[in-house]
Amino acid sequence: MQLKGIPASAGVAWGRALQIQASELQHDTHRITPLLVPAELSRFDAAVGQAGEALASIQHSLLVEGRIEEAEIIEVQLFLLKDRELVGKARDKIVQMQYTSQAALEEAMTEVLDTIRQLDHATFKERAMDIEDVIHRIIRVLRGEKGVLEGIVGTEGLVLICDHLSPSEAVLLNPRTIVGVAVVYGSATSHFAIIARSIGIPAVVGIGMGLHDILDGQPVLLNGTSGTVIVDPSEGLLEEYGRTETEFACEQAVCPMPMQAMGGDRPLLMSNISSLSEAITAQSCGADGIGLFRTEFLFMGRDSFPEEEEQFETYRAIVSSFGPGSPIIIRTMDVGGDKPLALLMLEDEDNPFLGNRGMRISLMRQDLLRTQLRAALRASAYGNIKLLFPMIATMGEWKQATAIVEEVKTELSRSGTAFNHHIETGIMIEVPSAAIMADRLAQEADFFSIGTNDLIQYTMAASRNSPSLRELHDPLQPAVLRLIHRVIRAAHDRNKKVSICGEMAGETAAVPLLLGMGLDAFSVSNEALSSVSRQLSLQSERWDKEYLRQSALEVMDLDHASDVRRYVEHRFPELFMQPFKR
Amino acid sequence: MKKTYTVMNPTGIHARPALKIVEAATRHLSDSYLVKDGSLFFAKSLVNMISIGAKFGDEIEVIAEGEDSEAAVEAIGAVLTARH
Repeated sequence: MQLKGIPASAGVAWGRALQIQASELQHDTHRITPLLVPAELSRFDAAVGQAGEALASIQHSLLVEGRIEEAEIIEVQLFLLKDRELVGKARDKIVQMQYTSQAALEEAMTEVLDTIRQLDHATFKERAMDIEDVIHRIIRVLRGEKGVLEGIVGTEGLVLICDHLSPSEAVLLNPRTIVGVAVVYGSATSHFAIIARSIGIPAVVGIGMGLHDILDGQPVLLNGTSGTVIVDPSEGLLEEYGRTETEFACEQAVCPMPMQAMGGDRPLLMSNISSLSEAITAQSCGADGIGLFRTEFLFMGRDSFPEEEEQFETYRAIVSSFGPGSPIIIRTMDVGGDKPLALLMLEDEDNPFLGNRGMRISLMRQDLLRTQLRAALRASAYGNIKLLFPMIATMGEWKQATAIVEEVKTELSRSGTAFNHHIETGIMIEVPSAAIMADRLAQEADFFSIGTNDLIQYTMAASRNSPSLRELHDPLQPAVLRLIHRVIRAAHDRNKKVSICGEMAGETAAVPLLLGMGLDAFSVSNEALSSVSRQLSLQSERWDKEYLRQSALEVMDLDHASDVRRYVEHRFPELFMQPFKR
Repeated sequence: MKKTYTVMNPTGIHARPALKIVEAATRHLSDSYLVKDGSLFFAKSLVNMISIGAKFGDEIEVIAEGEDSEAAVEAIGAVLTARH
């Protein structure tokens, strides 16, 4: 059995399944006789005290390890524990209503959460999580239950399966015990995913209820890079993954890529990154540059927006980790959609993917955009930084964005600050309207970067987080291929370069077609670098440009994604005989 | 004692600043309250301060009663108008 989800934390894990019921408790609505109230109160107070001690000791060990941000999450919970409006109210209910401690806590929590939900729906989930987390902790103490994770000490090599994990549970994950985590709900940017990445545990989220069919103890192969979970994997597969694991490890260190041997006229292979450490890995793996720096990760999981100086230092460090000529494409903050940013306190929307996100937010919050542009422009004095704007849908948005860039440049010149006056600015093509206007936009922009994940979901009107719509959300859909072909042609007519930075760039069946369309650069995750590099060099060795070009053209006449796949398998059989990962 | 402040933190009153308000309020004997859009929130309760959901630019009235009410209002006002 194979399940597919959203990759949340990279790496391959292989272990025994363990299903846990995270934070799911049986409700209690019992009442007690008035005689028992004093005893119930002391039981309640003892449980609150014990929960507090446990949280304080977690906080202490996080501080010792220097995990300040995670320690602050726990500090908020410690304060909630003393809160008159939450724990205090629950205590009152024992006296007034003769509730059991658990029933009282549950009712007090429900009342508080209802109020928060009414006051501000947009940030509800994030605000609610800490409150739920702390109340559930007291209830577990009352019931004599251990935290789901505390109960599994002494075992090793477990792949954890759960509906969701709260932040205070996630910070406790021990990579020796828990080698991987598979989660029913969630997105790649949830608190849990961020914590899993920081601890370095491979994780896949948003897999769906199918996960519950896995039995405890069943062998599971979890691939946090591709987002797959395979139950009872065959020995052949394990062997293959053994190699993958070695490659992954090797990519963490230094791994020469066959690409380097190809020389001259070849597409660039770059990395998509979210942090400085990923940039350093990309460089040591031999990437030609950074095709996409997702700067929104500088903004997430913190209490205030990063200042210009902090951003500048990060950008400068990234550009300095590569040679002076290597392109480093900095994409301005792209939040909204599946990446909400509580800091912005945006209104809740019915359909966030069609709402306020990416450049739309930056144009609304020009204070943030200007700070980011100042930092990036200053760093451009140290290397080949390019600016990329996400979610551009109209020429007007592009003009507005570039006008702001010009203003910031003027400010910097006036103050005598060094920056690259000829810095390139590009458009992320991910909204179909931009793809349709590509010929006009190509006159204006210095380059295009096609964000296939969003372009596919907007073109096909099929969310990439919906497992049942996977057939629609397919990069080989003829409509998608035609649109991409059109964008590349429009850019090349104006001598502009095009790169692709979505998952499609690492898709075996898509790579020869993209090469045939004349794509200039592939940008993929660090984990995919060596396999894409191998594919690119193999393909350029085995098939000449004309053959590739012809194949891309012929595909344009096909009606079904399945036909495209069959065609590629027929034209490039060798690709599918190689032990490629994906 | 009451006074109106404008939230100056560009990120609004999120978990961390909410905690700072509670810390400021509990340093004083007076009980203090925040009023936003006609609703009253108890400043010594983190749940209340998290619930308030104040955004940048929101007007918040701070009310306190007691001996050190002026100091309590000032301390809370300082958090509301802080930029970080």
